[in-house]
Amino acid sequence: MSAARSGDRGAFGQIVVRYQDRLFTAVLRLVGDHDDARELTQEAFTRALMSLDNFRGDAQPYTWLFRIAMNLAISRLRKASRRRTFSLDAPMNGNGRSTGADDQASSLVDRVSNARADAPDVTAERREARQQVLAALGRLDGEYRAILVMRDIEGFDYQQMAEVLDLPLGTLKSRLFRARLALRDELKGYMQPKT
Amino acid sequence: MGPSTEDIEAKLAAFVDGELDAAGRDDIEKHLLANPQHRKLLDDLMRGRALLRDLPREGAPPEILDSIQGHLERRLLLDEESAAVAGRRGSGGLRRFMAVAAVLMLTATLGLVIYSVLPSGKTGGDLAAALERSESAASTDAMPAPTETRVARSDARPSATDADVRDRAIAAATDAIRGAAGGTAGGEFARMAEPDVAHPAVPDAALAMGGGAVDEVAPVIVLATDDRAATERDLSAVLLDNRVVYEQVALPALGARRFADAGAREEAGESIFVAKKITRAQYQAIEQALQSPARARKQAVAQATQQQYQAFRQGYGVAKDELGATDAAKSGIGGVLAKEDAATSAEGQAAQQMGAAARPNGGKITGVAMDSAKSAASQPADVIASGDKLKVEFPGMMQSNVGGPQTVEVGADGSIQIAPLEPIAVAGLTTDQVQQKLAGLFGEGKVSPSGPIVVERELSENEALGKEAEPLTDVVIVVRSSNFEEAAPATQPAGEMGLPSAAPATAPATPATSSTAPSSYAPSTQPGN
Repeated sequence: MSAARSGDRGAFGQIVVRYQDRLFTAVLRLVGDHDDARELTQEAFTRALMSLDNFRGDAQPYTWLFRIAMNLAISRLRKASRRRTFSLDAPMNGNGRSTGADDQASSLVDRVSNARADAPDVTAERREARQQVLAALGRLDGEYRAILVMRDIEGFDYQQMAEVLDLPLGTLKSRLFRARLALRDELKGYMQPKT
Repeated sequence: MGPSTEDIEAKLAAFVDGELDAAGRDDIEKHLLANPQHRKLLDDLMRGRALLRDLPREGAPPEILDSIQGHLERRLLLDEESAAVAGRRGSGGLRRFMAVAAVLMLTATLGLVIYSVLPSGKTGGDLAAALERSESAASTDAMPAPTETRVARSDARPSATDADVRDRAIAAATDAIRGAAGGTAGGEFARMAEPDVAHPAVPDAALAMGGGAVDEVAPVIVLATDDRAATERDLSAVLLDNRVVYEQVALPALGARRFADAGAREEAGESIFVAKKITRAQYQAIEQALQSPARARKQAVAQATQQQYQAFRQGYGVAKDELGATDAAKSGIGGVLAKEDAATSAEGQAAQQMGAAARPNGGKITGVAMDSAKSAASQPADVIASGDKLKVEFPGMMQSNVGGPQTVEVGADGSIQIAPLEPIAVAGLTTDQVQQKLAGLFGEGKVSPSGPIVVERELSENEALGKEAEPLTDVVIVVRSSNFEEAAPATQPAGEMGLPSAAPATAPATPATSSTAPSSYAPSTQPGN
């Protein structure tokens, strides 16, 4: 990163190569759409390139990249949620959100899980679990989704999350707990023991 | 005071993550021992966490790296270029700023012209009523009354690309229309057409797309409907009411032309034209022509004087020798005339059979449009004076006796000479009085005409244009519809049609600059000349 900041464009290219899969996956989990994720990841790298001078050395490069990408993704999710229309016929869960066919959840399942359906090392049960959790993740609010992606998928520590999300530590942990509760609610049907 | 809910939730989150300190873990374990149902909940949270962690990492599409590499290369090139042109950066920035400013200004001015608006509630069935109102207004020497379809120019300066701003412009224009509705009947349009220094002038460059600039304060007519047929009807009615000439009305020669980008706008449901607001006399002439049976109109053209013929030829795009054709479609008569001919062919034949007696002036229809223009302009014009030209005809009489029809000029002594008669004093008389005088003269002789003697006064070109000599003012017409399935008929370029440059010097503030082509409609003399 320091080489990139000093004008070594090739060094920035190495950063892209190193983090692109991870960042793309994180954005994909956030937005649930493959094309959107590709576009947002490109945009995040581009913005990072344009603002290399603003990068502070006290943060990890990936944290910095993720913060840019997450802000872009959340902005995209907010716009999408404004455009989204809910069916009056769709059943609502306790949070007042539709539990019916959600575009983003469907997209997550269709685009992500199906893309991996042919992986030979994935058992049917595991594939089912992934589909379920992706669908559940897609139904969550953007904020909860971002917290879960950062913590449980990306493995950020609390301090990093608090910096990225600009939240006090206690508040961050509280929201993490609530996000996990929300995910559990979405997965309730899957988690209940089958009779 | 116990811990807050947020504190408890934070502790539970850390417990799930295994990051709670020993004291915290003990507290929770004690609680779970007392409340075993809560263990299931925390187990579920841990399982969900595990499921998320089990999600695979996806491979980034290659486009991402390609895109970033492209950015890097361009940035490298830009850096090199910027270093090479560093000394010129300041002036280049100014040029870019000026260019952006010019584009913004152009957009704003175009928006000003185009997106003034009025919703049209008028239907085609109102056309007759509109004409009647106009006729009534003309009879009282007033301009045609405005209809509920409005002519307006917005004070707002909307952007063509900003729907919200455009909507505000529409609202502003509508308010302006409503505000003007209480004014003098028929005066609304005139006011709109007047130069107003309070409004920013529309630069010529902004409106030069059609090959010529329109008036700086050109009013805008916008018709917004969702039905093409209704729009055409409304457009005709509105333009007639407001004395605006448009190709759909009758006389494209008076100045309807299209913006060069009309084709592109038609795809977006808009057609933009530049037309001419005409004089009251011209309006009356068109109205008369539109109401006349097509056959009679052909006769009128066929029997017109050379100047009148030129005017009609330019108006209808038809050669004189074609006018005898019974099939209007073959005659080359375009647009409205052709359609009306088909629609009124039976009426035209009936009029022909009825002959001269069917006409209100008791005879031929020579210069019907011009006659109607004359009567509409002012009644005193009917009083014959020196220099006037009279057309006279003595039906059934031998050419050797009187001849006819013939045109005679009123001499300086106020008389006309019709051989072999003695000079006949006509100055100060009306055509009807001259007709009676001629009938009396023949009644005294041995030879009499077989029908009513026809006496008509030919109008000067200036009279045909209207005594008030009101300038032909450019008007921008926007026809907006989302359901047009076909494009509006094309209009010939102004230059090809020999459009008049009819901008009397009495109104220099609103020059009509659409054409410089010569025309018989271009007044060779101004009022008072």
